[in-house]
Amino acid sequence: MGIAVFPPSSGISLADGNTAGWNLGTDQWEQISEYKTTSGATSFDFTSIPQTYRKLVLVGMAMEVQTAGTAIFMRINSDSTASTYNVMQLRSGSGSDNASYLSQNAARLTWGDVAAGQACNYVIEFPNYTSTSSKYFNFLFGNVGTQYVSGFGNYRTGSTTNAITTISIIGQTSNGLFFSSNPGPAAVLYGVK
Amino acid sequence: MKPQKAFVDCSTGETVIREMNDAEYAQHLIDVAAWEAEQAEQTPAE
Repeated sequence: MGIAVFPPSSGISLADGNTAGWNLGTDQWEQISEYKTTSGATSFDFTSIPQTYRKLVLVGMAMEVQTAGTAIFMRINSDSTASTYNVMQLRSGSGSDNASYLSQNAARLTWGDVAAGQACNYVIEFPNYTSTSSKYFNFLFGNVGTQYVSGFGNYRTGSTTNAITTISIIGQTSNGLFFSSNPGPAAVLYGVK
Repeated sequence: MKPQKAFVDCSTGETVIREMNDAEYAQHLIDVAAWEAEQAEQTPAE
């Protein structure tokens, strides 16, 4: 008598109607959209974000500035209401320190300036973007001048909020920002199923 | 000329880069003023 052993979640249909096979995890990344341009804009928005994913991840592949002196902020659903965003920053690099930016009208994601001619790579995760409660986000920013910043924050803590349909990444001066002269896009928005 | 702002519509994949409108520019000026004030506080007086 032979015995066949099928690992769980392999997709093989069994006689009893169940399906066998390995469960390799449920995270599936899909590119929703990308921002790719060779001309500088002061800020960019991803709009009409679909609500069909478990979470969002925004990845800035490369970013150069035309002149120095720009910090980077973020807003959700174009909301610039006072006392709406809280951010905790963990910093490393020259002159490093840790800081909190509480009850602000935008989420402050960097400390100091993105220097002229430098690329700043970043990742921002939104783990509960479709929730109707307060939203959370985690972020990493590299090579902001001579600093590296990681941190986490929330939007409208303790409140009922709309799902995230627009994410705005904002340069804090009038200088040209958020363009990539490299082959890759300036930013890619991924949805994770 | 007002600064440029980019919009990426995730439903169509279309990217539009245009000059800020009046409301966007007004918010931009508020943001810049706050940032410049903070920079001035951090700059030691000569």
